Amino acid sequence: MSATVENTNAKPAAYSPWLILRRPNLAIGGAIILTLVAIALVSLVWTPLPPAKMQIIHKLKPPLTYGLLGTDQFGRDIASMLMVGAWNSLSTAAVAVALGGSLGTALGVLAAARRGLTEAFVMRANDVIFAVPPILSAMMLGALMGSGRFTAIIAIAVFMVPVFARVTASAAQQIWSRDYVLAARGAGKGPFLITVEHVLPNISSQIIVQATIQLGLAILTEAGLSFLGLGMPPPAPTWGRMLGDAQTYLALAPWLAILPGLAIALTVFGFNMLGDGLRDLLDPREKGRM
Amino acid sequence: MTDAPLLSVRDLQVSVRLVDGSRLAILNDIAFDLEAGDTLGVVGESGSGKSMLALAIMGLLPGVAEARGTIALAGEDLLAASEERLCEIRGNSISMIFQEPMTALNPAMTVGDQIAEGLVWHRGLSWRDARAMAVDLLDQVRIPDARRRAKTYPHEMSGGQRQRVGIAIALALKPALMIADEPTTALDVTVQAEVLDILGELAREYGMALMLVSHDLGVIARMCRRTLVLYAGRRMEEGGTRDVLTAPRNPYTRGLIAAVPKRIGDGGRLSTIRGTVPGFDRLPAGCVFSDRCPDMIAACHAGEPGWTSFADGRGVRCIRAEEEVE
Amino acid sequence: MLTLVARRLASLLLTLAAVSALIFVVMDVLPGDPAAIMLGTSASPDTLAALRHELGLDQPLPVRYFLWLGGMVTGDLGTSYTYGVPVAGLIAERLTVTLPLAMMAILISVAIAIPLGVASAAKRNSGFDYLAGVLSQLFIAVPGFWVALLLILGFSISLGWMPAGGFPGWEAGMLAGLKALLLPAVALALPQAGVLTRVTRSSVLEVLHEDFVRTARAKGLPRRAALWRHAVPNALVPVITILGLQFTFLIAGAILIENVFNLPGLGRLAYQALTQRDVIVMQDVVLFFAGLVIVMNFLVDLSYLVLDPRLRGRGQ
Repeated sequence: MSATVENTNAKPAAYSPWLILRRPNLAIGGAIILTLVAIALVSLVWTPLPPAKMQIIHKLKPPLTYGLLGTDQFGRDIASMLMVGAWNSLSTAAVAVALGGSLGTALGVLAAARRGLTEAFVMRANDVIFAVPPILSAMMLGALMGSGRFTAIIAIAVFMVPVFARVTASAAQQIWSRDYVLAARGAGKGPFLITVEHVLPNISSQIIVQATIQLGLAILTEAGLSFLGLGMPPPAPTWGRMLGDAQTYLALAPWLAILPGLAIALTVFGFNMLGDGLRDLLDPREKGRM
Repeated sequence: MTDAPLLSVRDLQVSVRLVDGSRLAILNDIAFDLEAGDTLGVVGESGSGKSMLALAIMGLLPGVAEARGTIALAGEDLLAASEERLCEIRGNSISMIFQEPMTALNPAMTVGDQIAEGLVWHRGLSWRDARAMAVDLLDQVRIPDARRRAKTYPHEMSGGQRQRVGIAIALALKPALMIADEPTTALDVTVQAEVLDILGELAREYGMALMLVSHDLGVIARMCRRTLVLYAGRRMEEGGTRDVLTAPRNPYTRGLIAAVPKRIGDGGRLSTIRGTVPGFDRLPAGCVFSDRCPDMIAACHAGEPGWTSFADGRGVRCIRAEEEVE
Repeated sequence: MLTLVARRLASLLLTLAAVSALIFVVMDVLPGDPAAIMLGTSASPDTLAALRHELGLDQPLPVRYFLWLGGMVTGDLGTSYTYGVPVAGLIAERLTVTLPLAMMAILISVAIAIPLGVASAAKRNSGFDYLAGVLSQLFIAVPGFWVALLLILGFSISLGWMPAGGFPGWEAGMLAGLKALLLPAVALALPQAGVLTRVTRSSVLEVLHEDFVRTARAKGLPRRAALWRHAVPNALVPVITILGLQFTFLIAGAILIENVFNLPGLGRLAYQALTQRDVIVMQDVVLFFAGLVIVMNFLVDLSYLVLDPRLRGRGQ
């Protein structure tokens, strides 16, 4: 009795060049953020109407009746305010993340390189700072120094330090235990050079992903601060303060509350998607995350 | 009139769906019978597909794998059974012991509870009664101080003890068939003997059929009355263990036996089968063993040989088998 | 096991001490004279000096710090300038609102996240999984205070089912109090729910690959039973970890939410202290919040001992 055996194997499909379409996170996130940055940059030179211009006659107009997105309680054009708000939010967040991120990364790689007491100290300092959310520290600073953009940036940046320190320290530690680093150490290379030549390049993708995600969170935080009146003072339009002002007119003019919140949510969503997409792209060994 | 065999496998083919949608065949043309209370050893190296066979019988193949053919347990085709029915059968009529005792047990559940769970689930016992029976089972697998140990967690036990707990779990419902997939591979040699002892003794005591999957010929020789040799997902030889091991008819089997280091001898090199086991997507044309076979002839590449059954209950897949004059 | 607990406790105390020192030093180092802030710049130098002396501000820094710490321990946190009452009493009073709010929020977020996360893991890559993924991303992205406004818009203004803010006090009854806290708790819970869903999903996915889940199925347990009885309990550790880490953000959210709903909680107190520049209250509230976070993380650490028997004593 014989039985023939089929070979059901087939060649794998050719590698698809349409990388970006296979990664919806990257595409969606990238699109949102690019649009946002474009709008923010455009707002520096042009907005439909001057955002600070009050036209009381046209106050509280719903969207599409006067101006694309309506007007607020002072007759200011919401669309223009949102555009400038985009720039304000983005720039504040970017500066804060850049400052806090650099310091945090430096501390993180330092902790991984030196281990021992330095590491323990950095980790403990992280716990301490983590215990005070940026809103709270901004309020604390504000009570003494007065609020404003500077306070907001400092508060957010300070909180970014342990966030980045934790991530970079654990990522760097993994690199330190790799064989090629052990080899370099055996050859006599100093910790500074190892950090610069081996550790940093290998953790750079994780730093980028983290920075993207933290940018979103920083915008959320900045909005919260502005909401309470702790961010940039009027007349600079900020999404957070627009929401704060909107509460009084919630029944009369719901769009005042809906639109700025939508802007914030969309922006943070975009950064999160972009961060996820970058993570999948830059570190394919990551297990299937959402 | 002989009874129908307990387990009857025919035309079993297991394939795996690849990322690009194509199918890769793993097991092909697998067939054998297992009588009630009998012992069958499935021998194969890593990459022979033997674990897939065990999982296919249990219905626990990974989602990307698909099985075709017939796996009949007491006449019932398992491949055609609903998942619900399979859940009734698992643990109850067929049970399985896995290779890695260190990870096979739930770290957050006491050992006793893990044994008792099957009893509660299938027989509807109260936890109290089930736990009492679990202590008894622990005793049977020779765990000392069973009553106290039943309340401990897996991480407090050694590998050998955990494997015995695995046996106790598999035995709890007195299944008709027990499949042991490399049960002693991950254990120290000194512990292996005892675990195998317990396995064999309890299988005999409860009249369970045992299917033992292993790459270790010594283990098979010790435990199994019949042997099935697998290579690259195909059966190469089958027969009574003594016959297969003393008078093998397939060159692969011969190679395996020769490769076992022997205590008797005057030194010299260890015998090996040259080459390596091919991946399932890189099988040679014709007989799957042809690129490594010392007895290979041109005809071996022509097409895959069929299975030849002999009258004495033996079977072999090799075009040169009939040439052999023992 | 006791040594483990003792070590965690020591760690907690050390961090608390460090935080208190940091807060104290920051408040001290920053430009701004508390006395001048309280009395206004037009006050005479003598009045300012008198207030400074009364507040003990003319003492050297370490002395002031230890006096303050000592006050912490004895329960004397100073007197609020604005309210004229002991700060300790103020905090205790406000806690009766903030703590229930936070607990409700945690409960709601866990009630959403665990079923959603487990189901997503079980139905990996299905339409449900994708939808749940988008949903949790949305939850994470939306500002809590915006959700609060939307909830008020929807449930208070449009439907009239819930109060739009304010807190009747627990004297008005448990139900009335809880009703007032419901919308705020939901607003507070949603971002947490988003994060927790993702963590739950990835954690369960990892555990589902573990061998012991296969052993459970080999016993005859159907998928669902194996999932909930074996996989999920072992998947909870990372979830609890994240829950603890998120507590800081929960507090930040509570501050904002309390202000939207005008709840007389600790967050609102902080905000009022800010607007009235009551630095004494501010300092104490900040430390209290920080202390809550640190204690919460301590409790999370302790919970591991319960969840993972391997951590309890010497394994083999």
